[in-house]
Amino acid sequence: MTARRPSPDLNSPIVEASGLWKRFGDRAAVRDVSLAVRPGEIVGLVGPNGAGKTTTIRMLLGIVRPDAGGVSVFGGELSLAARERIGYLPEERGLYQGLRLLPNLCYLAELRGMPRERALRRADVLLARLGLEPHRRKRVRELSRGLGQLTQFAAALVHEPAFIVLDEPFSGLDPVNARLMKDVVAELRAEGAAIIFSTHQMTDVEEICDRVLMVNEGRVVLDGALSEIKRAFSGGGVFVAADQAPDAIDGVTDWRRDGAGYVLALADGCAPEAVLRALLDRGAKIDRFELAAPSLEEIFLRVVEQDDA
Amino acid sequence: MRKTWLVARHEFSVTTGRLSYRAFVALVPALVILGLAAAAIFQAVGADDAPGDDAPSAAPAAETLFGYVDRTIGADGQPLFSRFWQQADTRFTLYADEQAATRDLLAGRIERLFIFPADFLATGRIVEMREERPGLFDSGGFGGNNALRRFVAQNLFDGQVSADLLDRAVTPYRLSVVEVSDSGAPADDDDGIIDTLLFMAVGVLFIVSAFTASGYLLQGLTEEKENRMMEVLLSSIDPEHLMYGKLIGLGAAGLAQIAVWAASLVALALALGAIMDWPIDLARLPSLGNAAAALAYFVLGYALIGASLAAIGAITTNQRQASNITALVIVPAIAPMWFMFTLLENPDSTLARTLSFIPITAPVTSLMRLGLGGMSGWDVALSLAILAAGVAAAIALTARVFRAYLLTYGQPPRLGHLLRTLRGG
Repeated sequence: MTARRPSPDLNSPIVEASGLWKRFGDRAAVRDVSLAVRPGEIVGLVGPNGAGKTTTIRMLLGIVRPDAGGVSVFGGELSLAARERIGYLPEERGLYQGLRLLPNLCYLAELRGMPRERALRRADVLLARLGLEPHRRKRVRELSRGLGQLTQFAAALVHEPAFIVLDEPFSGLDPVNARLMKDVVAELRAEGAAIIFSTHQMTDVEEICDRVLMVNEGRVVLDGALSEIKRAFSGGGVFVAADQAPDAIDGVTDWRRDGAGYVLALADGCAPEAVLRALLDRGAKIDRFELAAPSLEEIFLRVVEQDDA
Repeated sequence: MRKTWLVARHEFSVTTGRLSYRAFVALVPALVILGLAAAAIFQAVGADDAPGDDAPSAAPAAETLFGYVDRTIGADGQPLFSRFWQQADTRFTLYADEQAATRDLLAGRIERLFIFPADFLATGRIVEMREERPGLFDSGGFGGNNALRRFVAQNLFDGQVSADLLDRAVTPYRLSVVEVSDSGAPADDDDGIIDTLLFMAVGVLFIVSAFTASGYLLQGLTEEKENRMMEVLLSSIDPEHLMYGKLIGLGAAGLAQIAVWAASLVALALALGAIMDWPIDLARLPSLGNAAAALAYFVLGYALIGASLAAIGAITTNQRQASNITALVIVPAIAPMWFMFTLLENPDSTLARTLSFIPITAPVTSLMRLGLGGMSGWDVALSLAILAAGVAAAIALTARVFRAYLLTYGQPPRLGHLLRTLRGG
């Protein structure tokens, strides 16, 4: 898919926000939010409705000016030239309904600094990659919801951005097109694009994100690599899919049935390997044994509840 | 600046591509073609009906028949009205007997009946016999009187005076009014009616075109807000440049509309001149200075109305809300039309001058005054300067509104908040 002018330094963030504040009247929509996204990294921006995700995104895009704090992209300030290298897929779709696909894509590409000829070639490539080639002569209003969503996705990528913001990109897509879009996102990551992915679908975040930034009531309540967050919320427990209950095993303080297996709570200092050995020694047939990390959705609910409390 | 032109080009092509725009632009040329067709038909029918110089004595089908009884006796002992019965499309029929003439009048065989009494030469009195009492505004009909005058004059003076004197006896004068300038010399434009009609037409076209273009601007903005296109646009362009681009693009679409309409009207005038044999001289079109001033009023007037409506588009969420507020701009802009008759009567009055110096009423008022010749160079310069200042202020305020409200949805802002924004707070 090619990201335009990728940053040469993979360790330097493509976008970096520090201490962002935004007030609307008496209400602080965003409070001291900081984040950084590096090349080839997908950061999931999650949070309940009204948490400040959209306002944060708008500040990162330069649509809204922060009251305090700053945004730096591509190592410099958020200038118009820098904004031309940003791709944005908004939560609510924004295309000219009466225009055909190609003029829509070309206009947006030109607005972001791409010459018309190149924009036309790039739009052709994208339409073909996203399976929209048969619809290129259609007006946007004639497309189904899913095809309209793919067109919006193409509009976000047509100018070969190096930093991409995707706000609920999979809504309205059938599983086939959702997979297609995820594949393209993976290609963009592999090419070095920095991606912010905002959604309520935690399973999607778990599937494609490297890091998670969770906001609630305008503040960052969780920030880190997905694997680290899961480990932090695992509580030291393990999940075992076995043919017998884990009764009376040293180091197991509690257990409960969970679907096809058991979730075991371990005493401090108890190594999961010792529990596995004990189960094997008593002749249990084991199909799965893993750290009992909660789902991101469980973590999300737990964090939001704790924060609200 | 590059993005401003990109937006302008996009807006122009999208607007001129709209079916409604094209239909509206084509309306005037279509009316012109219809008008020409009607004129051609009218002319063809008129040519068929016109009597030839050597027409036979039998009356043509469309001929008007008048009857008369002649009791006069001339110096030679003969009745005075014994010749020249055919006057253009009116034929005078002599009756020896008043009763027979009256019967023909009642039967509709003649349209009018005149009795020339024996003392006609002394008194000039003619009696018209009519079937009905004449109406309040019926003076006998211009054509009828004219034919009668020529019939009388020709019978009285033929052979005694020249044809020119005979003409003057029938039509003593044709008054022609020439306007003089302050220096006492005839004013440059002695064909004021053309300027007047043209500028009145331009005034109306301005209103229609400016409001059409501004309406498209407002509609486009509210659509972009409603379908969230605005968010995508603002991630790539500043609100000010977006606004400038829209104003330029839609203004160009409005000018294109005006150009097509003006060309159609000129074509109509030339073609009508050819068909109806009217003398049309292109050199008599408005002076370059007046035309340039008219163009300036159109451009600035559109910019003022467009910027104002753009601000309304920015603070409202949908077209219904927007259309409720547009009256705040539209009503003052067309208010000079309410005073049209006052302006026509005295284009240099205090009212006319005052309206020319208020930015929102200046375009329509000044376009009318230009046509009426009631606007001095100083008035034009001052009016345009004030209008330009108004446009600059409107654009600056609209830019603030754009920055503050383009991404707001739901209810429009409260008045206090809006005023703080306009003050730059």
